[in-house]
Amino acid sequence: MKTLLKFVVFAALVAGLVPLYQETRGVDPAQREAVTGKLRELKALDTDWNVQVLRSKTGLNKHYDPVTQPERIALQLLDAISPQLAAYDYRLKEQEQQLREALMTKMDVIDRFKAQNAILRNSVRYIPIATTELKAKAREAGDAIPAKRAEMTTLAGNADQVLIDTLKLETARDADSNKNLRQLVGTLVERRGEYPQPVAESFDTFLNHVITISTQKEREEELLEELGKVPVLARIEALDAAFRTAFERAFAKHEKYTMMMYGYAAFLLALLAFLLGRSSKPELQPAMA
Amino acid sequence: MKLRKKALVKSLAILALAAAGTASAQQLSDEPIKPLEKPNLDARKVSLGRAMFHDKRLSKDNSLSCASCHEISKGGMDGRQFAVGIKGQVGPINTPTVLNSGLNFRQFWNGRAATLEDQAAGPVHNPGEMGSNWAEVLGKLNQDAALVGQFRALYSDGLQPKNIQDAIATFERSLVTPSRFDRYLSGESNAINGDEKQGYQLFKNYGCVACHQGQGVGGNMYQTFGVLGNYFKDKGKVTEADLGRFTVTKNELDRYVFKVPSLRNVELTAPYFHDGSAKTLDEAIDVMFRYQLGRTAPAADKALIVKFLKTLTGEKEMQ
Repeated sequence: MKTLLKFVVFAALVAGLVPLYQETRGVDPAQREAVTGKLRELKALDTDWNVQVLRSKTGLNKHYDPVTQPERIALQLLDAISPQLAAYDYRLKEQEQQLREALMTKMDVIDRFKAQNAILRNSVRYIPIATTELKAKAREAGDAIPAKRAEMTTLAGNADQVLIDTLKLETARDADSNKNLRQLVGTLVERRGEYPQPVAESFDTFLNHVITISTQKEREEELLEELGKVPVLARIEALDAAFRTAFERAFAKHEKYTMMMYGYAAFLLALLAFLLGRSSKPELQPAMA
Repeated sequence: MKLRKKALVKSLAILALAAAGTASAQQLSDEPIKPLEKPNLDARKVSLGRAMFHDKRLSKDNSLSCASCHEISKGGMDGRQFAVGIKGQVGPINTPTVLNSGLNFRQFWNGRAATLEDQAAGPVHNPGEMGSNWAEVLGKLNQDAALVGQFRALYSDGLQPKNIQDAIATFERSLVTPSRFDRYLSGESNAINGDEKQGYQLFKNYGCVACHQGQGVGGNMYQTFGVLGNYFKDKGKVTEADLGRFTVTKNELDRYVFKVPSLRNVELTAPYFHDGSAKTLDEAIDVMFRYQLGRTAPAADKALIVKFLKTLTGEKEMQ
């Protein structure tokens, strides 16, 4: 009975190791490297993503795959570290969510940028042709109606000026240029009713593209400014710092519990040795008379 | 001496040809359309996904499978103006092709699904399409011991909605359709003829390529339908489906915005646009010129563009 009691007590003491052991688990320096490595990748991806947007803006990218593919990779990287973040500190979830929101905002702005850039590229590519077509129609009308010749010659000259000013918008980031262009176009629009029908139709097409370029240039500036304000990088860094802090805290706790577990295990071993020593000691025989 | 001269000429000719080949390949690497890449997928999941894609138990009355609307052998869609769901219900929108859908940056015309996995769950739950739910579907599929075994072999948690979605999405990703044009882009200059090359040049010159570019020849961006002309005003009655991405974001900027569709296999996917309003490729091109490009083009140029578009049809018959 007494032996059974000793066994139960000892088993209970051994069971005390379990919670200590549990506390020492789950903190692996390799995990820290994995998470911080993924965040580093995300940071590099984000930087390259911005470069790709600028390449698309300037027409160096011939297609939008380079500004589209990072979306999926960024979310995959974040998904990959998500379980580890939650395991260290529930508060990291909030920071992860903030980063996710920033990424979604960035994707949204980039989606709008792609649409805007495609419209702009199309019109910029077409405007010289539209100008040539308008000038040809004006020349034909001038030849056919001598009374209109002077007006048509002026229109052709103005069309050339509009073309130059429109193309300048592509190179100069200047709000005044856009304003001046709109003024010039405004004067042409006022006379639109006087143009012969074929010229008026050609003028409408020309005008449509000039307005598109002017509007889309403004939109481009707004979008790029908006993109610059999306705090993806700041949130990656914030998450990285918070994770490192949480990891260090968890690691310190892990070290503490490891020491405690070793100490406790040593105590149990000593106790076991003591008990074994006692149980193996021969009982003293009464001395013979 | 004569022999050496002959050998020298021969070597020079080979070198010149090789140089020409390299130059041509380099030139094509800078094109706005990129050749298709073969995805690296688990063949067992593709096979299981194929079975699920054709499984009518996904619909409430066991009458429809994904393949009912996305017939793989017919361009990955149904050829109708609008999709038809269970009990003959006519849907609000044209069925997009499933071929090369793995290249799309979002799924559905309005981009409401971020991934093919998300998309796969949509029609199952849509009352106008398959009209079912996962509990019902699992109830039926769990009685199929062989299928349950297949899922268990591939997924640690066996037959689960997310695994059905994964298998279907994996199968869909396998539906890539390399075309003659891909061979041309890869340097095989004779893969397309002179007219088709001219058509490609016009496709670029007229600006179609501004939206239809990349590996998918589209599918990687959104665009407003009616950039340089008001398509919906001219159309008249505007439906909810016409609102496009606005139905997802409720942002005014997204009104009439749609995912730009891929033009791969466009020859097979009539009728065109989200409203299936263009019955032929020629009609679709006319609409694009008028409302997206804001310009006109001679019929001969459009005919050449059609010729080019036909080079985007997959060469291998899909099943």
